[in-house]
Amino acid sequence: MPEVRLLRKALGIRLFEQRLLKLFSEGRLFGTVHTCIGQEWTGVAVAEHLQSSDVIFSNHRCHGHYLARTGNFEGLFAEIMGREAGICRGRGGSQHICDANVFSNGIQGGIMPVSAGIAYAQKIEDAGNITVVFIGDGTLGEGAVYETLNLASMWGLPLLVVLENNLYAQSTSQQQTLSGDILGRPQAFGIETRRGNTWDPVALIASMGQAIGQVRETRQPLFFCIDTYRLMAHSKSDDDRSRDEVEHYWKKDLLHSARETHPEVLEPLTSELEEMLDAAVSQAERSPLSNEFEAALHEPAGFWTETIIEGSERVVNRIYVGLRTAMEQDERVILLGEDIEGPYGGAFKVTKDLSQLFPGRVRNAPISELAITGISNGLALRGMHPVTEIMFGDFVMLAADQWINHAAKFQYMYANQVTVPLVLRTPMGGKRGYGPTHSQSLEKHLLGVPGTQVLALHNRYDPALIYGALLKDVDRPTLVIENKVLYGDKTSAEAIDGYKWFHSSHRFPISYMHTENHADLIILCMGGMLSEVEKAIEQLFFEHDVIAEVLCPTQIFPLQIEAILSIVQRSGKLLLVEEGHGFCGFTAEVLAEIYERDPSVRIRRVYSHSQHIPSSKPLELEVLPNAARIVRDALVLGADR
Amino acid sequence: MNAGVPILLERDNVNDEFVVLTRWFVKDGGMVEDGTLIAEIETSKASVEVLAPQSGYLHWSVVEKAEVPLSDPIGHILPEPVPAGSLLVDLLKDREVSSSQQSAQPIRSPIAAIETSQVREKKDGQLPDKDCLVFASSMGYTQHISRGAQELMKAHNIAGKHFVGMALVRADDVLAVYQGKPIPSTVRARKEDVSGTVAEEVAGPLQGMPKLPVTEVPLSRMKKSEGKSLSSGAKNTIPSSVSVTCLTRGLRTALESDSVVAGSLGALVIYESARLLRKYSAFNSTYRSGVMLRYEQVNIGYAVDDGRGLKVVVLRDCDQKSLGAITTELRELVLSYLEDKLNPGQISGGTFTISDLSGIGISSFVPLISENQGAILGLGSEQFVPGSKEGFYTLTLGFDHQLSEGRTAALFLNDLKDRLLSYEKAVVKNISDIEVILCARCGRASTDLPDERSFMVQSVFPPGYLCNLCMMGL
Repeated sequence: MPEVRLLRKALGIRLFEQRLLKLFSEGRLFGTVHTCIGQEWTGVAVAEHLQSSDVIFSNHRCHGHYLARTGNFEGLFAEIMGREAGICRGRGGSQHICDANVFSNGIQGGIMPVSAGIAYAQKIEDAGNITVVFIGDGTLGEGAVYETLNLASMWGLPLLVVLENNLYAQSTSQQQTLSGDILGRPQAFGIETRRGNTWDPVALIASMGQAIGQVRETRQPLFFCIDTYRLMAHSKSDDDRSRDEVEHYWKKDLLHSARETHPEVLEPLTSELEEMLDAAVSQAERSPLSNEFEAALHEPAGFWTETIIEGSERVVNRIYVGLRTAMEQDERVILLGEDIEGPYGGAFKVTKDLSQLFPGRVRNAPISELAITGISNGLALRGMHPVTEIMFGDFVMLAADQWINHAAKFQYMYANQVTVPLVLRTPMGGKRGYGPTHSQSLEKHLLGVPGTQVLALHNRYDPALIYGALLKDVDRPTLVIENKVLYGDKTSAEAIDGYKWFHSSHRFPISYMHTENHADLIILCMGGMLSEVEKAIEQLFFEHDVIAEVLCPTQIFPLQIEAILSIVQRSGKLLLVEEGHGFCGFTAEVLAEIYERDPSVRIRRVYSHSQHIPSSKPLELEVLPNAARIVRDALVLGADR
Repeated sequence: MNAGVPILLERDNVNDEFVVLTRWFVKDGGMVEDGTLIAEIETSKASVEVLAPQSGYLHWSVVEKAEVPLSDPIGHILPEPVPAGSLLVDLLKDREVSSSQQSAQPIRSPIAAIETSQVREKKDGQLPDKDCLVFASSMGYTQHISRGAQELMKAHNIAGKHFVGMALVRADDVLAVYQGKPIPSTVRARKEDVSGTVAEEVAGPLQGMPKLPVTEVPLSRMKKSEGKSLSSGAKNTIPSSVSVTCLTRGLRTALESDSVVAGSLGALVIYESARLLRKYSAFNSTYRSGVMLRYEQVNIGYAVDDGRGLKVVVLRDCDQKSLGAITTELRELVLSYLEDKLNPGQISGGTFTISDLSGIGISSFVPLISENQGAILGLGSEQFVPGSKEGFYTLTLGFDHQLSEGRTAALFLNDLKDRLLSYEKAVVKNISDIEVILCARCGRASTDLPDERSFMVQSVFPPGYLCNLCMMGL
């Protein structure tokens, strides 16, 4: 029998969740609740040995882990009731909490690399802190788990993985989904394992103490499997387990049986806790419901300045200079990616010798885009400024879960208690003959995710300045699209005769090739399309007497629409050019944004043929938008006076 | 006037043309008291706090971390809150007015004050452009002359000195100098035939041959002359076109019962167009090297083709003839065409052409301008949604962009549309011969549909037609 202090913790969690079920049935909660009734001792055992600067990252079934650590019943009640007094102001609810170094997210698997990233930051900080991540046996189906185990072992991260083995993934028995041995998995990665159960809490707490002590001391990961059983349904009314089986575990449950064996302890404890919960509920319900929209970033029109670029280095070198300068100025900047260490220095040679100049701060990662991005997320959560290279833009899709369900969400759903200064760099675009899976422009799939920004570099504004501005105070997940063909182009503000390059006053400026004559039309493009558009503008003027100007925003999300509109309205005609597919693409969105503000602007679009990108070069060049197509569409648009 | 008071920055360091606004302490649109700390700026030497110059509502002109020229206001204090979004534009409009009337003096805040006269001087120098659209460059633009302009300059021996200071020089600009007019630098240029005469086909027999195996089929003389007329028309013009859709309840059918035109929609359109061409004379003209040659007569060509070759029969002085006379003349001309008895006088001298494909189910098309003309009207057939009483047809005007522009063409078409519609209203009384179809679901006949806006659509399942009521689940 554990001491009363620990019993109070475990019983408090159970009574809290039973109260949640009651409140739920009364319609006083939002969403659903996943109770840990029967599993309470896992959270209690971990909390018992953690220091306040250690981190817990939990999952959808997180109440017990949080309450064992903090005892903040009122804050969690208010959160699940969707109220301003909630620990995340009612934004996260039951599955998404952040308080006192306890985090949780409702996505299975993705929390593994994020936790590993936090542990990595703790390793860099070297203050003896560790991270505990809670997963379930159901999570073993996720690839992110194995990518992370590999990296945590490889890099020696102070990460304790606690697996709550309750035999079911929602309604599906382990017998249908789990092959091999649970502990055999971490062992295959060279990670030491422990095992315990919740039916002997005293032994579990002691064993957990040793495990945590070992991780703290050795700075190596450890895997702890806790056999347990969930006595209530996964969520609500989704329980098909046999009555006999559930009954069997109720009998084994210590908190349950102690009511009969030790009523003298349990009864006063129960009534004391119920009284405390009454007060917590009524206090929580006094708070107003969550009521604030997230503020959108306002991007006013600003003003324009002539662009002057000294010298003319290749774009790839200017990116290198930007990264190197940031690394010199801020030791929080670290680089992760595949094949980025020198002397190889990245598939496109962007990182060159940075690993030699900044030992330990530029790291080759295994081919695990999801885990690399997740670890970067964790690093960013902990205040580092990771700049992570995804070797080809096509591979960003492998990391999309980390981008959309983790990085983008954290700041909002954790009520601005955290920021995620994560930078993801990736080359996109074709014309190098790499074929269907290494040539795409996939940015449209990642545009418009609230809380993020997407930049596209080009050669008419110094990429080193963009990275300088970004890494000086990056405040949100930022995807930077570098174009493969542009890497080799010269960075220069040399314009076509009769024109000059200007840029707007935004933090990430719009570049604008302007002439003093009245323009017949404006062409708007981004990234690698700029060189084709410039060729087209020269042809349009020289061969066809048509004056076109080009706008090339660097920040493609959120769109700096006010500034764009003010230029576009001067000619009233806009040609949009995009390397990717047009359907639901960047240009479709610009078209909509312009039309919503000024329906009198005439607009056409040029984009990739709706097909995959062939490797054969002549066909590839026809599939992608080119100067000839831009000229043709510009003439059609221009003739329509 | 509700012009805002600009918040200007003190020039505390002469070397700084730009400062960085590091932080706003008050939200955009927030209320401030006189002297409230509203922002912090960073100069190369120090951070400076900016206080509100007076009470009111703050509107930002720049965002945090933006670089601001010292001469520009970082924001404005407005007397009353303004809905978000429209702020910037409205404010700038107000400010333009106020600065020209010199009515709203910027108030100097204790810290934020600079030589306002200098600021206004700069603002007054600008045309009604917004602040954000000033493009100041360190050096002049390198001049760029288009190929067309270069050729014209060479042909007319025009020196480059006429275009000093122009960034881009187009054929139009050269032509203007040649004709002694002001340079139309804001007008879109066009292709120019340098010699002023109609160029002959340049392509020799061996040029531009297709690479795939071909069989040579000689064209008839008629087809060749038709091609020559059209291609010279195309060479001398910048073809452009606009279309208008006209609602109808069956003009063509109604005309058949009309005693005057006796079914000839073509005659009616010739009659109405002829009257409009006096008003829109640009379409009754032709273009020669920068000059519009306006025809004194309105001779309308009407394209006929029953399969034995396109011929354009010409009706002279249409603007002076009655509808009945035109109907008779057109019928006679078509008859002569069918009998191959057209004489050269009957197919030459047109000043405007009408191509009527309404009889053969064409919905719309872009007609080609004939030689020595400036415009052509295309007449599409009436299209009816099954079961609906209302249909539409399309009028397309192809015109030479050197003589006119889309707007005028649109006005012409709309006038024509109105005249045809009023004619239709007069002759269309009862339309009885609409095909009656039944809704496959409710069995309602198309004639029993509740109002004029009802319609039937073709349906795969249930097979047949569905009325719009059933389709919407009513």
